[in-house]
Amino acid sequence: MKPAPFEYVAVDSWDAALEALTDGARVLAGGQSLVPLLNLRLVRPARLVDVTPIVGLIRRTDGVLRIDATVRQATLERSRIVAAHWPLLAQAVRHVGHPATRSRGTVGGSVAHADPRAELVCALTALDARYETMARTLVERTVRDTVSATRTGPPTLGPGELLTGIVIPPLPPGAKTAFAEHARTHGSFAEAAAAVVLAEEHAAIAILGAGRATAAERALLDGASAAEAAALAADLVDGDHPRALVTELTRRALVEAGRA
Amino acid sequence: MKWDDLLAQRQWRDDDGNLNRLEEVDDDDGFAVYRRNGTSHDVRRPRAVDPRGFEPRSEFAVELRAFDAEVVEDEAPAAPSRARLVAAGVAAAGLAWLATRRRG
Repeated sequence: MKPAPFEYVAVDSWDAALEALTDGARVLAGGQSLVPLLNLRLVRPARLVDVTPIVGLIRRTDGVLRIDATVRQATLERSRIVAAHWPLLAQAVRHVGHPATRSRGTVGGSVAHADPRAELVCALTALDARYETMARTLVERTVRDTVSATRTGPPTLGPGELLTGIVIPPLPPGAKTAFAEHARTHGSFAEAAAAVVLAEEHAAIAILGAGRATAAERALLDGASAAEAAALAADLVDGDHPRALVTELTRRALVEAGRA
Repeated sequence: MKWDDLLAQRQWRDDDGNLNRLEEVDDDDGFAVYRRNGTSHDVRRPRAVDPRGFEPRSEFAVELRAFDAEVVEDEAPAAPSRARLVAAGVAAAGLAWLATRRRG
């Protein structure tokens, strides 16, 4: 199928994007999720605002990582800063689609699309990421903390709201990370995944589509084994098969991160 | 490519028409990576060090003191000068002795 007719506007700045984001408009940030929906006519925007001409940058300043929303997933995958200081992102992004889709797809597009099966959202949740948004009405940036808000992922963008960047605090000293996923075929949507950050007096576990496993994190800090914590993390999902998957994937991730 | 020039523009075309795009900047470690023709290129921020304000870390303090001691030794060239003076004196005495023998 072909998409319903729409107006296409390409912008090279966030201010221009905000101005072009009128009622009935959608943001195009890579299009690896939105274009299939357009082709199936599941969404019929009056206007598409293409933000990919806005050059995205990965930048580390004072130990804090900032990823512009328009940074390509392939850029994140080959980033030396990410590999050296936030390896969980590099571990997770390898599971996102295929090299061809990662070369077009953006980090911000994946977050803003808010698919519960998005690997990057899962990893960012484990990393306590914050999200910079720009609102059309206020024309100013605000920073939101996902952990204190919902604990399940990034904030839901309202009408006329743009995601402009993602801010990630430094990992605790000596932290080890791991990402484990199960998909029926490589590159297809994951059925389950777990992202883990472990350090001395720090434990973060994010389950794909379910958010932070706080009970399992507390148990780890109290000395629980990987298997015991994984069983607690599985309480976040329903059904025997998903529970078994989450239990095993969380256990594997914890073992890879150094917990016996 | 200079560091400040690189950060000033995130995307540019060079003289050959190749698109260059800045991908990542590490302000803490002082390096940046830009992409051109499918390959990544590194740029390192130059280190501006003022030697007047240089203060060695504690683990290097011992080596620095040893170096000071060498400098002190270099500043005492008294021994070679004395040797030259003694040699000149011996030579003068020898010439005087030869002169007295010729006269005799």
